Amino acid sequence: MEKRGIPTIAVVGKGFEKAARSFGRAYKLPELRLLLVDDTVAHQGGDELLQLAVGGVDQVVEEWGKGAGDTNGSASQEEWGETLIVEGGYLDANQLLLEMELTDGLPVIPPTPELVEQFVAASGRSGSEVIARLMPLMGNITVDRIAANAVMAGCTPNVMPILVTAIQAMGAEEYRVNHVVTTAHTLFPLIVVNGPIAGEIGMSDGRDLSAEGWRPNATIARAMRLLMYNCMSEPGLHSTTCQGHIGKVADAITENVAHSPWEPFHVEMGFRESDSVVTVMTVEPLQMVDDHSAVSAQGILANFGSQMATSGNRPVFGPAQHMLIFGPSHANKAAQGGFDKDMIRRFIYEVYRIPVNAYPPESRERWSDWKKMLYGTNTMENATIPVVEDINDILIVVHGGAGPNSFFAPGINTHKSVTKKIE
Amino acid sequence: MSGGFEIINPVAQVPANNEGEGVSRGRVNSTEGLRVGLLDNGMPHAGDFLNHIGHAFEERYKTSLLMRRKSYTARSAGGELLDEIAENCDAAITGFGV
Repeated sequence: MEKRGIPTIAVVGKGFEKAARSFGRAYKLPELRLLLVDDTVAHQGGDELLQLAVGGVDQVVEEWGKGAGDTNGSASQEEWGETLIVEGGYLDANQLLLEMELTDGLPVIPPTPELVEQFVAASGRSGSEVIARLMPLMGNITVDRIAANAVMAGCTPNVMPILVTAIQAMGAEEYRVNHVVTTAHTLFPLIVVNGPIAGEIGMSDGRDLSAEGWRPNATIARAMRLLMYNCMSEPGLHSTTCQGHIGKVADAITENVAHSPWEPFHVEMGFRESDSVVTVMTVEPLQMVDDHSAVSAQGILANFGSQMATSGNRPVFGPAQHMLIFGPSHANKAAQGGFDKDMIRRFIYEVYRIPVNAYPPESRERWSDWKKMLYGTNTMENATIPVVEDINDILIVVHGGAGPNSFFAPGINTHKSVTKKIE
Repeated sequence: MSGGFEIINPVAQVPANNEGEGVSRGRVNSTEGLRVGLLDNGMPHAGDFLNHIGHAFEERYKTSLLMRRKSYTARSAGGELLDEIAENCDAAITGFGV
């Protein structure tokens, strides 16, 4: 609006001030006009909301009255410098990085120039190469910055090609990284690595999705989270999520190809089996699909379907992708029952649907245009809605060890996963 | 390791000359008779808040109001919507959140 010459003030919850100002700088408006309000009151409504609004009038007028004096572009952060000097040893380095709000709170390995150089060399690229500039910070995400965060996360150098490719993938418009970094919604990038590199670096393809004991699985996702802190958002803006979740720092997986009845995910996406490929997908915390009484293909798929077909989560309000992470046992039972991936998608799309009348009326007002067109709020009360708007938005991978367990990874409206070959 | 050492700064540098020109801010010189655009971003109660503050402006400054809502909370408002507000309003309030 300001670009159109209209003085505009954004009403922002205090917890989102840093994110808002970061967006302002990214959009060349460093002196963004903000009316900061108490987050809790803002989202509770009632008389307190009225008081909050009326009480904000004077500040709105004051902010609108500020004019052209502040017209510079995005602020420089040159003062941060290329290196930091630590007085003392490793523990002091950890304390410094913690106080600068550059870590996730757990101990890190200090990114010394020697270690960073090793990681840069493993990438096969120049340390100064800019891989991406991502919203809202729009800083130069260079290879050496990726390396520094990888060192801090406890990675080994051989994961650098995966991290570089994941950063490139997150730069795709459909990934919508700005939302992932700044939302109150608990979202994070689930990273799926396919192809030879997964085995070469020792990723777990089974046993423990959440990375216990598997260094690549544990550290790749942690490095991505540190990169989101330090290279995609304002330093210190660790997260704006309402609750957060451990999956935000620990979900990087590869497929259990050896025990999968289906072709690997990346082959399904059009890549060669010999290609090494990274998929980044924005997900909510994963949900267990685990009913030991279901032993038939239909019974197992029914559990997936019923887990997905609920009205109480935002992904079902508009177009969203979802990922089904089949444990090998569930995958093979489904395949023995005659189900390939397309049939699974069809089964869930046709059979497990959400009744229109499961949605409160005010929720229906927030449906996508597609849902409003097909399932208008005043007609077709007996209609049911599929769990995805496009049947191909049900993505299927196989991961895990022994046990009758699987995961449903809910995606989020308007985001698309991005799959990219490691070059 | 003791006595001090150097580590690489893990923070991405933001170029001083970030692409493009900075936005030159306009200014509201008088609130009397102002045409105010209210852009609801779809968050819970954002519309209520904007209605409250809009009515306060109406009462206090005799402003006129144009209320609009984004189609989806987590998406940018479309160009047409912004154009409409820009063509019909002198100042705007958006919210909540980012």
